[in-house]
Amino acid sequence: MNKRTKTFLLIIIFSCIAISSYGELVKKHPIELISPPLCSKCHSDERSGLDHTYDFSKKHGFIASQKSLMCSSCHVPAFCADCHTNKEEIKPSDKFKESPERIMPHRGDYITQHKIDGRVNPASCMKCHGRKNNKRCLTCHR
Amino acid sequence: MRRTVSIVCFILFLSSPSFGADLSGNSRTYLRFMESTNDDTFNPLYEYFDFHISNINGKDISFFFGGWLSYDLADISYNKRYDNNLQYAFIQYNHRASEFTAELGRFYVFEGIASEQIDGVYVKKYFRKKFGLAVYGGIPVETDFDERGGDSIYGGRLSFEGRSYILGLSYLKEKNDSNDFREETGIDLYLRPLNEIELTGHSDYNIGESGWQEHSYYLSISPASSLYIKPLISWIDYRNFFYSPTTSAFRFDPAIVDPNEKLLTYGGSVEYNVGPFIISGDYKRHNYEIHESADYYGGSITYLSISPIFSKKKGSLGISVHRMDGKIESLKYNEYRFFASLNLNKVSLATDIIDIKYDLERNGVKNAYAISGYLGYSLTKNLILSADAEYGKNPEFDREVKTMLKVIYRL
Repeated sequence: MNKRTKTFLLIIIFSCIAISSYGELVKKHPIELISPPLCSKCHSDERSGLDHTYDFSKKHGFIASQKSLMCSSCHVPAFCADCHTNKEEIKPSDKFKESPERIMPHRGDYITQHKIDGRVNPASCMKCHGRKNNKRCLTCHR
Repeated sequence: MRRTVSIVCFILFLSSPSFGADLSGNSRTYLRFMESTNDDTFNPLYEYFDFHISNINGKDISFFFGGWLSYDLADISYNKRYDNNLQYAFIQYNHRASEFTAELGRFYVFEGIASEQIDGVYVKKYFRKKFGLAVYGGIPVETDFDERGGDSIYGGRLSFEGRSYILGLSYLKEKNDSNDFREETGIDLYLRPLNEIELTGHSDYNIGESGWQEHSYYLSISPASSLYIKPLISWIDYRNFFYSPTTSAFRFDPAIVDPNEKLLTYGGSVEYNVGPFIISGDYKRHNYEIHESADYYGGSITYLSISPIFSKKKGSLGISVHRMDGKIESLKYNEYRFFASLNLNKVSLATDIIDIKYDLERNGVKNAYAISGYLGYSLTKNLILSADAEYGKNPEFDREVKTMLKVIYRL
């Protein structure tokens, strides 16, 4: 990074500290939520942006990378571990056959489809299988 | 055996009334029946077990554990009859009043550029409820291609959080066998100036290779009630992005995927909610610097019968049609999907049909499909028995049948 970029970043950092404010995080959500929640039904502040709408899974990675403590007020690590793990043999869509409406990767025949998806955007594979959960890849990719 | 007894004693000790701790968790047992492309039969039996003990000794300390064991009843699947994995096991100290969290053990870190599993320590503290500092370090939990000796990972994230924005700056360094393996930094952004407008995204920089890896941004605009417009844009530099995999699958061959490739993806979706119905259309263009471009577009109608907050899902129904339209023949196909689920009092039913029609035959197959069915029964509030089966035909299998029996028990 050059000097101008560093100065720019420092100005942003100190400006944010000067004007920001944020409410206290709760350790555990006071009410148990059984189905995917629509946070905006009760909250009108920034938490309303956490509505678990139909396509929430598409942006959940962004949210988790910024608000992981907020996620943990409802979700235990087992929830994340069903997909995000260093070693797994059962596809998430096979573990949750009862919920076909959930957006999950690798439904149906993925042996054929992975060659197509890997060609179109291999970055989407790399995030979960680049450095972990890829022992099965070695069967063919030696 | 001794280790198992020790763990059980430890759990009982921590959750005993004198400690006042709360214990909860799940036992999930899966038995699969399936075949390989060589007609080998596999019947792996899995036990997934997770629990957490919270409020240990009435304080802010919790313990989390998750892992699985497997044993193949028929043949040796994936070169092993027995297998296991420790997913996570860590002690957490979470002091709400001072907004301080610390974790020790095997855990996940999701902090800006880091989406890692680590054996080590993690600490996060908010200052003046305005900005947060997270730091972590330890040994990475990854697929090993050599010994773990000399492996290390550390990093952190500084975040500035307001009611309508979050700005994060993160850094990560990983060493393998004491040699530099990864060094990355990133900016993550969340903006919500109005309830109707939300922007999320991140830009990641590869310090080792001195170049941007990825920019990815997602916007959501709601110009009218129940109408959502969601544009997205992302850019990836393959050389900087795929620079430290632990599998050869991402060490590209220029004849198939050129490592000098740069991919710009843009598009988005439009969604309209009418009561329990969601009508949506989506479009995504993949523009490559070296290879020919490809478009993916289509639409769907989904019915979700959910009482939003306090009730379980009652049922769902969905149909979607998509077209992958690449410049090359192997990237031309139509994709159709239909699904339905129904939750009655104690019985749950679901079905899923996926059909792919290739423009160009693959292994003599032009139409690949998979049809699955699910039946579940809640024996008690905490015990669910279920069975599912999937039948398919595709370029790899003339006839593929997979079934799975599940027993799920909530502690």
